[in-house]
Formats: sequence, C-alpha cells, structure tokens
Amino acid sequence: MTEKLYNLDDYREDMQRCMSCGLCNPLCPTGALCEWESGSPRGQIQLLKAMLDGEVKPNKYVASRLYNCTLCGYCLWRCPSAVKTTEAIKAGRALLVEKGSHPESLDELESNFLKEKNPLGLPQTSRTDWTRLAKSRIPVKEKADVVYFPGCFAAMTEPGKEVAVATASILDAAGLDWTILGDKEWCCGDHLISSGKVAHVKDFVSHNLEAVKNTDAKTLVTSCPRCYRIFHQEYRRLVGEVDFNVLHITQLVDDLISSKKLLPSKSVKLTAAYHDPCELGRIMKVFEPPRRILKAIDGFELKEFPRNRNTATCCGAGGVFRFTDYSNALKLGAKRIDESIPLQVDAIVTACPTCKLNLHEAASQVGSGVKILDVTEIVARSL
Amino acid sequence: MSKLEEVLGSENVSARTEELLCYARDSSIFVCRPEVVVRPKAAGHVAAVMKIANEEHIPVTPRSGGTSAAGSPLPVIGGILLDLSGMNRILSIDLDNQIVVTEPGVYCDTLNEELSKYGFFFPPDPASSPACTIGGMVNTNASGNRTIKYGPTRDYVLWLEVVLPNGKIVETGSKTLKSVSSYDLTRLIVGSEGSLGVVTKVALNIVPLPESYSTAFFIFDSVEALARAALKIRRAGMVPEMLEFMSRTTTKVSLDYAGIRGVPEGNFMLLDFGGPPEAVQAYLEKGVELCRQESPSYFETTVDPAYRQSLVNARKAALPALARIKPTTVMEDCTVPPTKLPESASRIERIPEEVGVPGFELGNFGHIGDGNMHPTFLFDSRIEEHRRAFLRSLDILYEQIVLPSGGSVTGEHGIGLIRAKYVGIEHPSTLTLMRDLKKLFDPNLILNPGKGKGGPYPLRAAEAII
Repeated sequence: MTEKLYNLDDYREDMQRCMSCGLCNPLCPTGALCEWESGSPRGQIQLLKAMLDGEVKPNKYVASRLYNCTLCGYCLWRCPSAVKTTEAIKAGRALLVEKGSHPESLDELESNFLKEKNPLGLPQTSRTDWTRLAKSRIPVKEKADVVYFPGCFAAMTEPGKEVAVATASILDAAGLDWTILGDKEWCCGDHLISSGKVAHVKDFVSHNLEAVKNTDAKTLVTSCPRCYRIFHQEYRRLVGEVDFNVLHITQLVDDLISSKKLLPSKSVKLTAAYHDPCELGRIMKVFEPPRRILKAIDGFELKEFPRNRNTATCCGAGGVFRFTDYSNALKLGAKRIDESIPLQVDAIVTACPTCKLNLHEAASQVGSGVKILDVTEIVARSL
Repeated sequence: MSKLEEVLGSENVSARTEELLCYARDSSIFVCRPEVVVRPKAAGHVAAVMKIANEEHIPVTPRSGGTSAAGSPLPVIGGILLDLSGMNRILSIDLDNQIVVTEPGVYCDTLNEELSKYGFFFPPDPASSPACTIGGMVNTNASGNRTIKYGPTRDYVLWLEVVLPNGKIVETGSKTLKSVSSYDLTRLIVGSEGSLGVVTKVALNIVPLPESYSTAFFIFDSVEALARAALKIRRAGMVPEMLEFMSRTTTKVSLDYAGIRGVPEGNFMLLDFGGPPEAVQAYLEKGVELCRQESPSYFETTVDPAYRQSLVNARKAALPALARIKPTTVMEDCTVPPTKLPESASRIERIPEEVGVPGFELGNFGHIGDGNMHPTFLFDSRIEEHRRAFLRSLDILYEQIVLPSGGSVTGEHGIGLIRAKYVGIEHPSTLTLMRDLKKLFDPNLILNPGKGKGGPYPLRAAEAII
C-alpha cells in the first residue's frame, strides 16, 4: 500500500508539466539557504525528474538538496501549473531511503518511532506527563464524544505542554464529554511520511484509527496542524473514509465561541502578531478561525505579519527539517521573528506546537524578548 | 576548472551532473546542459571568468533568474554557465534624482517592494516579475502589462556597468538624466540578450506610483470583437495603465488559478487606469462605454485594490496556468501593428485547426494594447507528430501571419534559440551589420553563442533539440 502511495513515478506528469517558470523560487524559505539552483523547488523538480529517468542515481548529494525543504507548501500554492512539488519531494525521499541515500539522522528518527511511537525519542510512558500540569484531572475514558489528540509536540515538548494544558481547560470550560487516548496515542505518522521512512506508516495509521474508533467518539480534535492534515489527507488516502469528524482546536474553539458555549470574558492585555502555521493555513486553508478567536478576546490587539495567510513565512520546523538541519531550522525561525520587529508586538501567537517550539528556541538563540504563545493559551487566560 | 576555482573559490564552481542538469532549463522547450557552472559575486569575478574563457575560446552563457521563454540563458554549445543570481543587491536608492542602482540578480518584484516604501516604482511589469531579474530584463528589454503607458525597460536604463567578452569592465552612458556625449551604447546593450557583454550593474530611472486605480474587465465571445474594443480605446487617445487580454482557453485556467469564480467563459480583456481618483473614474466610464459598443457578453468594474490585484494576478499567471492543460507549454512573442490585431488574433486562433493534429492546442494572451500577443502552443513534446506540428505552427505564425502584417517576431522576450531562424527574414538589410557588430564586441564569438541578434545561429541545432 505504501509503495503505491509514495511512488515517484506517480508524479512524472507533474514534472513534465513544470515549465521552470521559477515563480516558486523567490519566496521559498529553504531555497534561500542554498545558493545553487538545485536547492530551489524548480531545481528539485529537475533532480527528481533526473532520478526518475535514471540520469542521476539516488545519492547523498541529491539527498542534501531534496531534504533542503520544510514542505511548507509555498511552491504548491504558488504554482499556476498545479505541479505537486512537495508531494513529489516526499516520494523522492522515499526513493532515497529505499536506496540508502537518506541523511543518517533519519535512522534515529525511525528507531524512535519503532521504539517509542514518537519522533522525539522520548519514552512513550511520558506522553501523558503534561496532564500533571493541568489544574483539573484529565479524563482517560473508554467512551467519549470527543477525543483530544494533542500530538507529540504538544504532549511531549515543554512549550507544547502549555498548549495541551490550555486546551484541556478550554474543553472543560465548554462542558464537553471528552477524553485523551493516553498511552494509546501514537504519533500520527507524518514524520515518517515527510522523511521518506514510509515502511511502517500503515502500522501507525491503523493503530490510531483503532484507538479512536474504540472510544465511539464522533469528533477528534488536535492541537497539531500536522496531525490535522494527516488525519484528513493521508489517513483517507491510506484507508478510505475516516468515520469521525477531525478538527483543529482553533476550529472547535471558534465554533464554541460563536455558539456562546464558550465565553472568553476576562481581558487579556497583549499586542501580538498571528503566525499562520504552514500546514494549517496555506495547506489546509484554515486562516480565519484563529483570527476570529483572537479578535473575540477583550484587550487583545491582533497585528498581521506583512507575509500572512498564503504567503506566510515558514517558521523552519516543517517536515523533518529540525531533524536534518537543526541550525538552519532555527535560522528560519529567527527570520520569522525578525519580521515581527517592525510590528512592535509583545508576542507572536501561533496555532501549532511545533511552530511554537521552533520559534521559542529561535527567540532564545537570538536573544529576542518576544513571547511565543499558542491561540489556546490566550483563550485559556480569558476564561 | 582549476583556473575558475582559483578565481571564484571551489565553492562557487561546479561540474557535478546534479547541478548541470538544473541549469539546463529555462521556461522554453529546450534543454542544454553546460559543462561547468560558476557563481560570481562581483564584476571582478565576471571579468576574470571572461578573460579565461576568451583566452581559451570557451563559450560563456550568462543567466540570473533563468525565466526566459526563448532559451536565451541556455548554453546551446556547452561551456561555462555564469550564474549571476548571487549578485542580488540593491546598491542605492536616490529619491532626489529618482535613480536606483542594482546588481543584475535582483528580482523585479523585490525591487518594486522596496521602492513602494517610498511611493516609487520601476514600471516595466513582466508577468514573470516575481521571478525575473533586473539583469534579464535589461538583456531582453523586457516589458509587460504596463508598457502601454510607461514603455519598456530601455526607457528607464540610465547607465550600465558591463564586462566585455575580453574581460574589460566598461561603463556606458552618464550619471545624469540627460546626455548625448557618446554613442548610445546603453541602448545597444539593452535587449542584446547577453550577446555583447555581461551586465553587472544597472542604473534605472524610477517614477512615482499612481495615486489610485480604476479597473474593468470584459468577456467577449470573439477575439476580433475584443481586439476592436482595444483599438477603440487607443483611437480615443486614452492611455490605460493596462490593456490586456486572454483567449477563452487561457481565461478559464487563469481565473481558476486566481480564485475568481462566476465569470462566464469567453475571451477576457482587462482595462485599468491609474492616477488621481476622479480622473481614473472618468476614464474608466468612457472606456467601458467604448468597449460596450463591441457587445461584450459580460463586464465588471472595480475600485477594490484586492479584487484588482486578483485580476492582475490572473493575467500574470496566464502562461504557467496554461501548463495545466497539456504536458508541454511553449509561449511565443509576436507583435503586430495595433490596427492588424483583429485579423491577426483571429488567424492565430485557427493555427491548430490548420495544423490538424489531434491534441495539439493553443491558448493566447498578451498586451493587446500595444499589439504584443503570446500565442502559446499546448502539446506533448514526447510525441513526434506534436513536435512537427509545433515547428510548422511557428512557421505559420511568423512567416504567414506576423511578418506579412508588418509585425515583429519578438516584442519583449528576445530571439533566444526559438526565433533565431526568423531574424534574417525580418531584418534582411541589417543582418550583416548586426553580425559585424557582434564580432566587434566578441571577436571569438564566445559570449552567449547562438542567441540574440548577432548569430551565428545554430538553426538546425535548435530544431534538433526540440
């Protein structure tokens, strides 16, 4: 099944259609890190085509170019010719893995998956550690209407845990019948797909679907835009229809506020810019719910980055870039932080635990005083 | 290689297959691989490379954005590919004298984004403005959507720093806004497609941005009616900011890409005025009245900047959006006298029918206001019959439609490889002079051989590559 889904040959017509117009190049975040044409999306298409045609063999040099990408989807959105560049890159990475030409750091990533069911290499038993930080008891029920699926970066990283805790308080305040899956939650599998390590994707998909199904939940809500996209796109591609509703937390909160089931009554005095996570915004087109939420909170002043929505700059953490090129991932994060300076904001607010982590670490590295927060943290403060 | 590495550092020189194949493409149909790619960072680097190449008679092909639709930056006979994209600094913005100085690798939109902070812009507005560079625009004398009002790139180039094929660095023109103290070498270099020298610095005149815009678009059932409407605008003495068109096929895919829904199918014309609000509104009303005399099936007007931008985006995306239709997309670049537009546009529409090959199609679009059309052939270059149909279509387009109507084989994209065959037909009396001029600048014929106006043209080679 995975061979069929992540086959470079499926993108042959995309590569043929690409007329090298170059519109994808100027704002590609990682293209700017590599001065050679081969590091740009247009060049990556040429490399993929050459690999497919046998003009070049999969090798470490090709890998250095094809992994020089956060899969932020800018090229995908920008391309008038509808060339599926990022999808082709994922398939190209699967071929590099098959031929043993992938970056070595990905072997460790895969081993983390197999051993601990997450990309971070943290013990699976620590997946619920965040619940101890919550003010109320976090439910782990056999049956519930809503499953909260924090995702690895919300459940297991320090900046992410604040998102999970805030989300729990929102779900409680709205009076929902909800549960987490506890240690039955495994990574959604995106890092396997993004890295080209696709051999075990199906195991993760099947496991998570089964775990959610057993709760009879009608809705799965996640803090993580990757999980949101994966459940929507990849799970459907792999197993057909998913028989529960999948929401990003900002969509649920937006609904709860508009239907008056959640009343953000306290003032939150903060001036902040909203950073669109690539997966949530440009790729899944969820632009307005987070903005509507923030605008509904008294005292909160929302500012926009000059590059916002479809043209938002990637924070640097997309795909497996933090695993293959950590220093440049932080460099891209610092660039996004720089873009906030003229806005004179106290904070950058996002809706993705991975963006939060990367921006947080980038801010620390460059000594920026800007706070990095999640939309849910602002909402939780207003309750 | 070792001499090049000595000059540029080994990190700026590559002969790896993986790199060479990436530089073997532009937006044309051709694939020509260089033997080595070098990345200079300064005019001195370029000069050193040219000196080595000239001494050893190695061909050199300059490139920056690599967006040419004509094959201009492709190394048709191998040699050195000079990638100038790393020379991408805006060197100075002088608002008092209204002059900006840049390196060749600056993107057109990047420059305009910077200039807009001061209320200025560099007007030539190619559809490829996000990805094309100032160096490429100078070398093709690029124009675009706003040329009808502001003219092409050459009208803005004040002086140039150029590296000659022998490695000598020269400056053309004068630092003043007016000067007739030399031959106009600046204008000779502009549009020369990198065949006479390598442009390493550009001084451009800039102008204030219009205060506001007023915009309309129309859908016509036939291209003739659309072209007649465009002529009426010209005859009325009106000077729009943009007067653009897209044929039925192009309209469908471009509006879809730009997310513009609910517009009936047909041929699209964009009419845009820039200036003080009261003036542009009055011009638009008059323009709409004139266009309605040609019975458009649909029209809309807008002063909403976001909607206007979507319409402009749709028009700018025309070429790559057409690539959704067929595996191969090749754009042409003809101009005809505006009075010949209705007849020529209609005749161009019938080329696929005339060629009669199933699956071989056409989309057209362009700057109807100044008679510049971009017939774009849509086919599958992997099919021999389609390749033959394409070459026959070029002959019909240029030899039977464009040149007999007093037109030119290229309005703004240059001769490149694709149109080399037609230079002598269009310019029989000056071809020898142009070749002599090329030899004067480049006696060893090493700089961008086979392109531009000075030949020699590997005519059969170009066809063979296709």
